[in-house]
Amino acid sequence: MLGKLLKHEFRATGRLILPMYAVVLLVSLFAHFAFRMLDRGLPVFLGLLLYLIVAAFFIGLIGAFVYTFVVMIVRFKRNVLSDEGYLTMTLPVSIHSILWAKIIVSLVWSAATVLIAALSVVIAAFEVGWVVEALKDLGYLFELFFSYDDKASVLGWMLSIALYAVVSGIVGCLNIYSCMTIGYGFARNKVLWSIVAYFIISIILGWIGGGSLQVLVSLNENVFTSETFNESFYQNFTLLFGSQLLYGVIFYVLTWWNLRYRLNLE
Amino acid sequence: MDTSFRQNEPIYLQLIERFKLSIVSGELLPGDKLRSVRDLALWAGVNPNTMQRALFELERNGLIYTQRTSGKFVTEDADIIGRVRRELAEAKTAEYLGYMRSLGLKTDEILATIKEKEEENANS
Amino acid sequence: MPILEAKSLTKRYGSNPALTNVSFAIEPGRIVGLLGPNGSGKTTLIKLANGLLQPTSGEILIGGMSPCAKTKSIVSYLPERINVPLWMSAEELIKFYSDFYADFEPNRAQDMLRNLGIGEKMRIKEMSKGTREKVQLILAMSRRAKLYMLDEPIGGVDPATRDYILATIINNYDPSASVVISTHLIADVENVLDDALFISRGEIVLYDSVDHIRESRGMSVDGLFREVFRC
Repeated sequence: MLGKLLKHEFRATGRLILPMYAVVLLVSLFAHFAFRMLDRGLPVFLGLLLYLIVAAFFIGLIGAFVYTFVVMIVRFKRNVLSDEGYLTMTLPVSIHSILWAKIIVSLVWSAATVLIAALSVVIAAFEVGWVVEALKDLGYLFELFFSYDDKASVLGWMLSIALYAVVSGIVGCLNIYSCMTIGYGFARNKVLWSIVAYFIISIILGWIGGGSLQVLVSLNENVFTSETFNESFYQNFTLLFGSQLLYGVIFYVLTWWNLRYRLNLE
Repeated sequence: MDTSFRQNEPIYLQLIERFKLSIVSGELLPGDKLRSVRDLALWAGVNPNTMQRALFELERNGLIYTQRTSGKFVTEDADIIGRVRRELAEAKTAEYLGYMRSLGLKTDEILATIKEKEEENANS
Repeated sequence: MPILEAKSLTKRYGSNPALTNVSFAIEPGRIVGLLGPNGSGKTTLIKLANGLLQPTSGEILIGGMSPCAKTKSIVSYLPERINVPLWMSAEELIKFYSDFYADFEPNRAQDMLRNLGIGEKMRIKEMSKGTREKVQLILAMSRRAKLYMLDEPIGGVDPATRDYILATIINNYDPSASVVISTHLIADVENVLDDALFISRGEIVLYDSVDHIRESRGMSVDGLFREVFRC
């Protein structure tokens, strides 16, 4: 059933996200020509137009991320917590499946937005010489990697960072979802309560995080001194990854519990 | 869909009465096949269980019969139809007489009214 | 085994009681009217049966199970509001239902849409309120469910549509399935009901067959309702 949920989730959000990608890429194409023409002496109004296009490009880049984020939130609100919830929450699927479908799709679109943003920068700045330089740099990077004695370590770092990115993406999603399910449990001012919940949870987790770090340091002064980079990398990674996992579990249980026991659609 | 039922009486009883009337009046002929319970329920705008109950009662009275494979049929027994005709007529007559008596009419007056009305109908 | 059963079911919103100690059992093959004035707890009861609310105490069982993914696969629920995504077309919704409900019969939905002259390509948001409601009813009734829970299906529809809805319910009758229709417009549905479940201020005040009510009280369910709930 998760597969079917994913299919419909991608369709429902794709129809909103994909046109946005098309717009961003189109604007970056315009920006490409705008950049090229800026340093030629042009009439004032044309110059102004070019600056506007460049400005639109940068705003579009930021907008792409904001938009992806907004789609994720609005989708959850509409599909689970408002009228459509009557359909979604009576489908013969578990709440876990519904949640994971939303998380996975949000994650995929976030990653896609990063890629599209990168692609649009490449399009805007595209120049033959520049690409040659970039490829050279990339080749240099590979050379560096393969000349490094301890390839396994480098690979390990990269995988760890990738894993961390995925998990923190999931946790970020669940953070928002849990706050929305708290806010929508109230009879009135649901959006306001969601935001309040977000801040209260952030503050509490900040305290707990800061507090436990202090406890950790006070227990063992040497906890953050290490001999090698590898060692310190994994110390930090374990700490950050572990806390993300813990937050993730808390947010997941909170969201699930609210949807299971406290859901009260209007 | 016909939804005109009297308010104060179970619907299945009213359905039975309608079937009896149809059969006695010849609207449904002896040996005619009845439609399915679902169709009849749709036609009358009633619950299929109610229609089933009415048909069950009719079958108990011998007005219809079931052939295991092909459905329900109107009885071909003229005696039964005749008996039901008399029952309906008696019931209506009793009702009519009760009403006329409550108006204060005597038997000969009632008979005169009927005769008068029949002549009127014949002339028009 | 009853298809729908409530055992000492109580639901409170905060300190406001919505249902108090409600017990009843509905056997398969019945068309039951859940009858009561607005705010008597009809919708709360239906939402509890669909797992959209959790009981404060007591339990509600569908085929002996508490509401879960499995019970949802045998319950067809028509909420009193538009619950389908507005951007979807009737055709897309049919695919959606086919994907999730094993008992959904697309042919029947297509036939009913055709009978009512609703174009499959039309999006929900382009439809009038009445047409949207018809599409939802068609989707709900095109399933071969064991329990249909229709919340106010005839509230605010024109007489022709009301007749169509009632005819659909009769036509869909299955001796192994039950239908629960919540409404306060009793005269309109009375003829298609087997049983009447009167609910008032969160409590069951009467649960009897329509025939028996008429036989024993010499009045229609509608008449009795007006008497019981006289203001």
